[in-house]
Amino acid sequence: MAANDSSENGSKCLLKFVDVHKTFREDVLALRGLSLEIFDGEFLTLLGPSGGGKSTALMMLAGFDTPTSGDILYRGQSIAEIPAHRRNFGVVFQTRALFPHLNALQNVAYPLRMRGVGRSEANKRAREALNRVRLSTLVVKRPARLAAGEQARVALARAMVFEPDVIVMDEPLAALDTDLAIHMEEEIRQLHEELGNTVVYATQDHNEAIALSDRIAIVNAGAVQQTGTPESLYEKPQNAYTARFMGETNMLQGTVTKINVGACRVTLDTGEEVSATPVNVTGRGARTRISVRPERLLINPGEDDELNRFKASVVGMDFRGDHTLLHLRLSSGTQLEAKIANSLAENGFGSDGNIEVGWHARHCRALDPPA
Amino acid sequence: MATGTLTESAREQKIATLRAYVSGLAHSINRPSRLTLLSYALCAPLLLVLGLCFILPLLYVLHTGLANSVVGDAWPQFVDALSEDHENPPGEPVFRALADALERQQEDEAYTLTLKPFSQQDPGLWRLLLQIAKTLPPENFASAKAWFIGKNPAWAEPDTWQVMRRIAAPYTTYNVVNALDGSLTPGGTLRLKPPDRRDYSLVIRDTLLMGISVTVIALLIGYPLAYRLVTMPKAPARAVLSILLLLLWASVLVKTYAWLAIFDRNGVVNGILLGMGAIDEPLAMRPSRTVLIVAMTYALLPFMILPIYQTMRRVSLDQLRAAVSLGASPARAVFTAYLPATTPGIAAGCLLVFVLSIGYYTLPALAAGPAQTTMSMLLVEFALTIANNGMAATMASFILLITAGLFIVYVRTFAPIRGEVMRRVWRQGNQVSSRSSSK
Repeated sequence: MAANDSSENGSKCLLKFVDVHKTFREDVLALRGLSLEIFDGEFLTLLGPSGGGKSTALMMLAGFDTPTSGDILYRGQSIAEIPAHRRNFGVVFQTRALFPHLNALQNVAYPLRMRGVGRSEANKRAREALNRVRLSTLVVKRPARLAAGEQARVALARAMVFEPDVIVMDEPLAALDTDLAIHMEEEIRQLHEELGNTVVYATQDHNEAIALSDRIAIVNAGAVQQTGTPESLYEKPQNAYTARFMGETNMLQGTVTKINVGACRVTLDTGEEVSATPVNVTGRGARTRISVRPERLLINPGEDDELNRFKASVVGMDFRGDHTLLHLRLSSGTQLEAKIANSLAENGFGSDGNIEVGWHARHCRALDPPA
Repeated sequence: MATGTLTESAREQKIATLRAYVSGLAHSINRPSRLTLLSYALCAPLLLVLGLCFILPLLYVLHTGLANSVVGDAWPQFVDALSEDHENPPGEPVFRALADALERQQEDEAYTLTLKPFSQQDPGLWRLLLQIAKTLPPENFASAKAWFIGKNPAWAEPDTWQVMRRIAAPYTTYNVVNALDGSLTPGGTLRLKPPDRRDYSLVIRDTLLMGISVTVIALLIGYPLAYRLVTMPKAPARAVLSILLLLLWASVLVKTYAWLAIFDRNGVVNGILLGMGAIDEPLAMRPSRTVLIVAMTYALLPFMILPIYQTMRRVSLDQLRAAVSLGASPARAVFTAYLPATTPGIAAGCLLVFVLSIGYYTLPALAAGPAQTTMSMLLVEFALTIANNGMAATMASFILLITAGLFIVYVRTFAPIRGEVMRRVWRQGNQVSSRSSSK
């Protein structure tokens, strides 16, 4: 992401991180040159491991922290020095941070009261917001009396009741059970579509990010690794880190032996010759990691010249519910994993388990060299 | 909610586990198992010690403040006769019993001791008794009642006998009334002494006012300090905490003398003021109420800071951030979000400091001396100097009751213990069932 290509997107770009650095104490670098554009009305997720810098970036956006260097722009104006309470951004915290001494309705009415809205009007609007998150029957309960999911909804209602310019959510579903989290994902997505707010969201869970986001920014080591739609990040990762973080993948190491426009040959360290799409390789002789998603492996494929084909044996089968994970071993010893339909797995693979495995060169990406 | 996405069988399983858990719980409540009996047995020594060393003495103090056994012990027949007769003035047997009792006591050394309650509580009646006692007894009188009334018509007054009954009763409110600078009319209504003759009630008032000042000052100093402790990095916070604990553990005497040294004529405060040229002569700053409040605040500050610090640690700083992000200015965020969330700690700290300050003896005795008397100093005076156990016990009861009252208010407002326990049980039940259903 270049920092100064906003001229064509100028009308759409709402928020912009410009080469933001943040140093905590002497040598702890939290952000190292984070640059990111966030467009008006989009749902953007910062996806990355804990300690990767997403929270720091969000807290800076919300105004609880200032960049050591670099700038944060809102509609082209620097907001780095504007205090949090003048920003009109709604924040949902991972801890929820509901006020324990106020009931659900009072919690949601709080931002309105702080903006000088009268009590009855504030309560009316708070009630509407609670209706929107389907909590209308629990308005008089205090947070301690609410279940975790209900607390998350109150926090959500509170962060959007005052029609903020941007809603910032810092891992709001991290503390919830999986079932509940998936349920809440749908609701958050739905609310976003109804209200059209700009949402900046942070999570460590790639499935959550894929389900929710218009765009995802992979954040690691204090910088954005790659941005794009969930699909492009999943199918077209630019580096091994993104490929791994977006989901399960087969990652094989090798050396480039031949390279053309749009295609290359890679000799794996275990000896196999593989055709791949060059993404992040410099030329012949370069080391590379190739990534191919398990669902792109074909078992006993039909005739197709462009396929990489290998003899393999099935060494294990894991039933995963909606699919089956096959553990394969090539004759050289290379281990691969393939996701296949359960119907295919039910028939078995013969007594010896010997099959042929293949994958298309366009699903096989030659990425950056191993560290 | 969550159940909506669970499969039917998982939900059934969840309900079954929950039901089993609840029935198990009900079972264990209804029928104490051998284990709970054993645990009660193990607690028995503790309960015994608690009862003997804690509850009994407190009850004894309350009893001593109200007990009134002097007349009953000395003149049992008279008190019995009086309790059977409800007329004012009573009939012949009561007068005869009183005459007998007075006659018998004249040989006795304890005579003046028995009459002491009368001298304290109603000098008029005391004089009547002395007058009778001097002339007792003619060998044969037909009617003791007529003879008493003949001696002094006051014996026929109903008021005389109302007071007599009160002084002869096994329990008396005299000490309580006296401690409040009041007196009772013969009819039993409370009359306060005129303001210039009040004494004990002023001490009580001053003690309570002093307690309130100390509490308020300690809160104003302690709250920001506790906040700083919560927000500062761990290592220095631990250092400050250990200093606070050290302050807590240091002997009261040491702390008091340190303050006396500081406020002494040749002490630090005077030294600084003299050095700055603010005063020409050393100020005589002790003993006084100001010194007392300063020293007391210092000594009790840890009791304010520690509970507030504990509560603050449980209140996430995210709440302050949330309030600010929702549009509250930082100051407003503190008052609308942080302060209310930390009130349980504030209440606990205030309760501790106030209760300790009104019961403190050493510090006020040393730091305030005669300039400011407190309830506990008065208590010691009654108990040790003038040997009036009833008044000493009454003062102690006052402190005890104020403490107990504040504690009950605190518990009812901030720590509804039973509710909390039930909530915890319920939450655990949910966890048990959700864990088993997720398998």
